[in-house]
Amino acid sequence: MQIRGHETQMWGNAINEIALQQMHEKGDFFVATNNNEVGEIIKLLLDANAILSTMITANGVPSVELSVHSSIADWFEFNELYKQWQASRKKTSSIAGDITRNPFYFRIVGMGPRALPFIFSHLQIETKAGRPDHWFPALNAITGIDPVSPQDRGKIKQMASAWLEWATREGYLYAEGMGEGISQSR
Amino acid sequence: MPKEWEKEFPNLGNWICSSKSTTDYNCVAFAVGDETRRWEPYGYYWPDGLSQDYGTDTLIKAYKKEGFELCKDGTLVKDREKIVIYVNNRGGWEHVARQEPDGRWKSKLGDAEDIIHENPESLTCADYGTPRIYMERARQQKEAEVTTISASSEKVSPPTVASNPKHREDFMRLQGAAARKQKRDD
Repeated sequence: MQIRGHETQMWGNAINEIALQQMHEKGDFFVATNNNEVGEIIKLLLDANAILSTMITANGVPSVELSVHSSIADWFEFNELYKQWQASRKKTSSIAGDITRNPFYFRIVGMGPRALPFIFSHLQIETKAGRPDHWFPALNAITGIDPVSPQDRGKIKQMASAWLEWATREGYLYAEGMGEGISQSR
Repeated sequence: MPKEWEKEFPNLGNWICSSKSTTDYNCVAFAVGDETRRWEPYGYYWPDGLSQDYGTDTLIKAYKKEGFELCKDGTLVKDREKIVIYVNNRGGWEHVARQEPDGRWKSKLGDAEDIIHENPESLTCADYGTPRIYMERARQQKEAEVTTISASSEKVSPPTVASNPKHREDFMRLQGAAARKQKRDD
């Protein structure tokens, strides 16, 4: 699952989405050269709901290696569709079907397994906040499975837990507690 | 502060927010008193044996499994629990509301809160369609006991907010709370 590029890059002052996109064109492997850049990269990637897998400081050299479970291009694609889905979904819809019968939602499903790390990342954050979003139809459609027990169907917190457990088992998410050090460095 | 639902529902009139915002259940479940899960043909709970579609025939079958039968309209009838299905112009269902023992109606709005509204037509709008299909069953004993309506005959007219002192009291309390919050915000 892990995708690692080959390029290293010295970063200048501004780290933003455009810079990250340009970085992607040269590879998925990033090296920052000072702590400020490290902080900026981590912040940007966390804001992007990217999943950080390693954080290495070797021999006291102020460099950090970040590899992500999916390519940044996938994140750009997902994030754009996610924003458009959020902006276009009906606020009053009483049925999830209206929310998920949406061209941008369909396109997220169309991304297939490439969308899974980002969906699970969203689902994890939303579940912690007590309001899992309507990802279950997409997860069913993409994976072709349903880890939710029959008695828990419709109970969204239990459904979210079942999917997050499955995601952790399958390597899409890390176990609870991992990554906390990275968050603290923001 | 509850969402300003008047913008979404032009015919809303008087209304009261009657719950916290939650995604734990939807209007279909709420209509039958199930506040533990979401009922939805795909991806959530759906009664066994029913086809997975958003047609009104299927929803009627779902409610028949819960003891409801089709009825003529939403006139308040003592000891009868009524629900109304909102139908869009393509013939699919969009929303369900239930009648309270006092004749008012109660709806779970999207992923937000429950509200009490005066009549089914209060929620008529492009997204919800129109209230078209009424069903009824014997009201649960527990609910029947708490009814505040003293009906002298089988059928009584649903009280309006303006004519019922208890309702006016509710609105006054709500308005007072809103004014106090506004003052604090200012």
